[in-house]
Amino acid sequence: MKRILPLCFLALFSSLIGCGPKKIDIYTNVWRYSIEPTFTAKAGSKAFKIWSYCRNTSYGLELAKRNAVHGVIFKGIPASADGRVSGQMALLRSSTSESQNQEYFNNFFANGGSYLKFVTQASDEAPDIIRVNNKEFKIGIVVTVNSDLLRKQLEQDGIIRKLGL
Amino acid sequence: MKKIFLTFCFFTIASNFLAAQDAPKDRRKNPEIMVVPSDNWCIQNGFIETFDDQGTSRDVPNYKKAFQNSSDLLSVLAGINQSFASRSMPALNLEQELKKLEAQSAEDALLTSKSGAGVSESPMDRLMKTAKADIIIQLTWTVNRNGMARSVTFTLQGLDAYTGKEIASATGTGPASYTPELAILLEEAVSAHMDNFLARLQEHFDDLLDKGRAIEFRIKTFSSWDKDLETEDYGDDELSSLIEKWVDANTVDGNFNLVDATENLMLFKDVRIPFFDDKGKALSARSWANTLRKYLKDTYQIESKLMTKGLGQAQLVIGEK
Repeated sequence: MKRILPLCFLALFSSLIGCGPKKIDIYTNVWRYSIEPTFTAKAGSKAFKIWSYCRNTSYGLELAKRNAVHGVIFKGIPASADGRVSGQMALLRSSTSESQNQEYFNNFFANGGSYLKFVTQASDEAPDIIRVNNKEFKIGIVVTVNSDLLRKQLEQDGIIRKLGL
Repeated sequence: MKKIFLTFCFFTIASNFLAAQDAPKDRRKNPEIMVVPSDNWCIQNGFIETFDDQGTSRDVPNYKKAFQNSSDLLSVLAGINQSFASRSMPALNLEQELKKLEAQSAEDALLTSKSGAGVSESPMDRLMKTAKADIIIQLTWTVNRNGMARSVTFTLQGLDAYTGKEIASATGTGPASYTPELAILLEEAVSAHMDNFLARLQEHFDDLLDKGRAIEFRIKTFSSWDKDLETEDYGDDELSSLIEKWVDANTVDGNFNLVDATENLMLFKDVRIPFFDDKGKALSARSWANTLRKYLKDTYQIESKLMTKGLGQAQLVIGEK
């Protein structure tokens, strides 16, 4: 019995740690990122470089994927300065839509959430890493978001309306 | 056993019938879209005809001639139509609508000759009335050549068929390519801009649903009529005020703009009529103005003649039929 007690304590302690917010969630919740248009992807997809901010570079790719999908849904993609790559309006343009569907998006962007279905790293190139200060890095990764599939999913889930009345 | 079976059948049929009665009717009807080559493209390629607009000659596109002479047009329109179909909004086929129009030409001739005071309609107006498209997408394209490589510059303009207002546009140049297929070049050029174009169309649809469809409405009087719009023979106010009250009550949130009002004319612009009537049918300028014609006849025993131009312009001439 005495041997079991420490094991129980260890199990309880580890589960408590598991319940706490992961670092990636803390980085993501503030949605700090910028989008840099790169090239025109094939029809139905958008390719761009996403610059994310975090303290641990090992979270870079995961963070980039989340931010990229968030950007396509809420911010849109700017056109390139030379006009070669056209921009795209955000899929969700109402300013209140995010708060109205808070629970849906909490689940959508959770660890291993549905957002992963719509985004891939565009190439195997190493990410661009810039040290912002002693504690923070800015990581740039080129990603491809399947915007057509993402739009259809949001339409199906009743978050955005289908084309028409 | 037979009784049980019959009772079961009866209840099944009855419950299905009741369920069908209770089911809410889906009033949602998607707007109709039609893609046409732009006036500019038709003129540049010589596909025009001259139309006599009450003494003034006007050049208008001749789509039939364009289809017969341009091998690119079919494939280009099919490519753009495909983009709409992929968003669950199939566009009307221009060629088919032209055939329908030809079949209805005899009926149109009757419409314009009945009173001798008919409203002059261009072939384009007649096409709009036949196709009943809510949105017209005008497409212009030019092929750029750089050695063996070609690229396409395009302009898409979405026009509200009722008001003629531009509601969405997109323009761009696709990447240079060696492909001989114009449709592929155009698709490459358009695809990057299509999402934004459709997003702007959706904003317009949201506006229509929210504020109603915009039409232009005109009231005139026949010179043979012994009264005018300032007469007070029909109530405690001038006839024009009574009509204005009716328009106010029959527009979405009373949205309309009375631009001009004299004893013989009332011109309403940006009249926001409901998108659907009480039965869930799409309401046009004609059907909306016809309710006013009936109201004037039933309430004040005033005869009037209703004339329409295209889908979004109606004119009621008061005094006789």
